Amino acid sequence: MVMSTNYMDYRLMKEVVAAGLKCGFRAFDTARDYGNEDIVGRVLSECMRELHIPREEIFITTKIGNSQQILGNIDRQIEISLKNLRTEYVDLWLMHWPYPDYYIETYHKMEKVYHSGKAHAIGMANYRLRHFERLFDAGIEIMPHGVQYECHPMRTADEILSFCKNNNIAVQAYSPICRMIPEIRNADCLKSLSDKYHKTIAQVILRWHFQRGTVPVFKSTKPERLRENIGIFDFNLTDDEIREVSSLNQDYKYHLESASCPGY
Amino acid sequence: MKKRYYAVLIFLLLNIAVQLLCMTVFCSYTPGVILIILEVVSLAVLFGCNRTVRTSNWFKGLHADPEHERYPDNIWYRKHDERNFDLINLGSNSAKYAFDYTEEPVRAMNWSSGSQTLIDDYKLMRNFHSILKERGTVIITIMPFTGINKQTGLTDAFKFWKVLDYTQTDPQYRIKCGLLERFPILFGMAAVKTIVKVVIGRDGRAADEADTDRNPMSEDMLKAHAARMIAAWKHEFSIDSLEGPLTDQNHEGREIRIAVMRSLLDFIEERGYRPVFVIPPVSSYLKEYFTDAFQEIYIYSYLKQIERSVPILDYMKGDEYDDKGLYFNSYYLNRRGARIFTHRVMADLAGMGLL
Ligand SMILES: NC(=O)c1ccc[n+]([C@@H]2O[C@H](COP(=O)([O-])OP(=O)(O)OC[C@H]3O[C@@H](n4cnc5c(N)ncnc54)[C@H](OP(=O)(O)O)[C@@H]3O)[C@@H](O)[C@H]2O)c1
Repeated sequence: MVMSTNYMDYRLMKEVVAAGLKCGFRAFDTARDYGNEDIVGRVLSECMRELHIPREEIFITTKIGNSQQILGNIDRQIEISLKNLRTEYVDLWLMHWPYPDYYIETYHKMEKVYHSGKAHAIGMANYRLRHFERLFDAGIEIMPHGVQYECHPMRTADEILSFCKNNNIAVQAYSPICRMIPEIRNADCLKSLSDKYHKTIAQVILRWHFQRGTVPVFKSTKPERLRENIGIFDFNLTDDEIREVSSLNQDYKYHLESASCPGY
Repeated sequence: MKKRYYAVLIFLLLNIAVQLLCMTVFCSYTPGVILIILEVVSLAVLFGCNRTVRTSNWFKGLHADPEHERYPDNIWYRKHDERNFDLINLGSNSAKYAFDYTEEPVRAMNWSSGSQTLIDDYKLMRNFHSILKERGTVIITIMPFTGINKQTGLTDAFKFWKVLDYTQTDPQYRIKCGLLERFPILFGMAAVKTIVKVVIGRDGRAADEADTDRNPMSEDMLKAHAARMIAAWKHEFSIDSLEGPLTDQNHEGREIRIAVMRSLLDFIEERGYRPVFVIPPVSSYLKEYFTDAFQEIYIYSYLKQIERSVPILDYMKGDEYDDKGLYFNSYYLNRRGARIFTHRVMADLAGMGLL
């Protein structure tokens, strides 16, 4: 499971990340566009030192934003991220958006960076199948290792998921609990599963992700919720229950892609 | 924030330099202190004026969506949970006044903010289409002069500066728009007038003329209004006769509009949405000028030249919307007219399987 760090200042992030590490989280998500990659670097290095956690145990995902794609100096951008994150490599380096007219070239440049060892895995966020088709038509040397997209019970994105599974691409699900909007909080099937397993609705959803094979990338600014969110490994949803949760699907995207990526 | 600190730092350093200079030249603190006081006072006045303009209704009116309620931008979507809209409409003023979905059982948005070109429509679509559901419907409003190009400038770009991603703004206007947004005092005379209006309490919000269920204009006023509209269009597009062939300039404009419309349609269709052309009605006073010959030259030949099979709903033809009480002048539908018209369009779209 991945913890998010976006839009947190140093004090809050330090509290959240330290609490997260203490209760067992080891993976963190950030991006250049969140404007605090350097704070993530500072917080992680301090927490690792204070809690005696080696770098190898930590999994860092970061992303290249659209403006960096326009700049085109992708090899330089990884250097900036590494410096911000105070590390010699990132575990997963994602293209944040399939930015029209740039994303294919960006991916080819990312492949070169991958060969340099500065990114242990590369991939993309927010791709639709049409973007994969275009990219694959243009030719790729390295199959993406990981893909991140919005995924939760109200947006199961089955097509992309099976595409990724078929191509052996790992999936990170962002907004995994759909920000607990009222439609999620009040969904009968989630409420009854929550009662049945004595788990919270968030835990039921996170377990649903785990059993479907999608890695949730959630955000919380409350340490007590971190303990709650990681407490999903002591119960099992049945196949029918997984299907029941998936039946909430209505292709609901909380984050409107084109608002962040014009021409998406 | 950092930039602000730098600005204050530079300001302080400059003042120390001025102080030192005055000390050396006049061997006294007084001239330097007076200078600094003057400086601080004028800066305070300038910032005060700038703030007054920035918060004025006039300044808000220069923006297409000052309250972030018209377009599903990053601010809108964090405030609203609704997604997967059935329909949106594009278009200029006549679309703004023609579509009112409040009483319709559809999730729809009217993306017209008034004067808005087809190029703006395309940019809005690029920036906000994700609000539509799969196979959602896009109404492209065709107005009498949609098929010929219009020159736009800084004010048009500025209108969408806070709405669209900056990359959608013509590069030649980006810096200017950024500066005007922060320092509207740079609007010069218009800014000064606004300050005066605010001071004397006359910077009220303009009343919404469309918010009525009757036409406030008399027969004569409607005739005069229609004549004025036609004269303005003729002047804007350098047209002598509405039934004559397109001028060379308008031929060029037509080519541009064909290309933009094709890009827009490709964009819509590639994403699985369904476009439809809608030609809204106009009052009989204006329709008089839009003869069959005009419609063929300016509207239908354009739609044919696009060479795409897009369904067309033409409400300019026929007399269904001749009642002047449906408009608030000779061109635009009023609130009642818009609701009646929108209801009809929704029924027609449903009949065509587009809703
Ligand atoms: N790649 C991309 O383009 C992209 C786009 C969007 C997001 N993301 C990533 O995904 C992360 C998560 O997405 P998100 O923030 O949109 O959605 P999310 O993780 O589904 O929801 C976060 C919200 O849920 C609340 N929450 C967390 N755990 C909870 C629990 N157990 N019970 C009740 N409420 C709980 C949090 O509130 P509290 O803080 O009060 O706990 C927060 O308001 C982002 O932070 C970002 O790193 C990536």
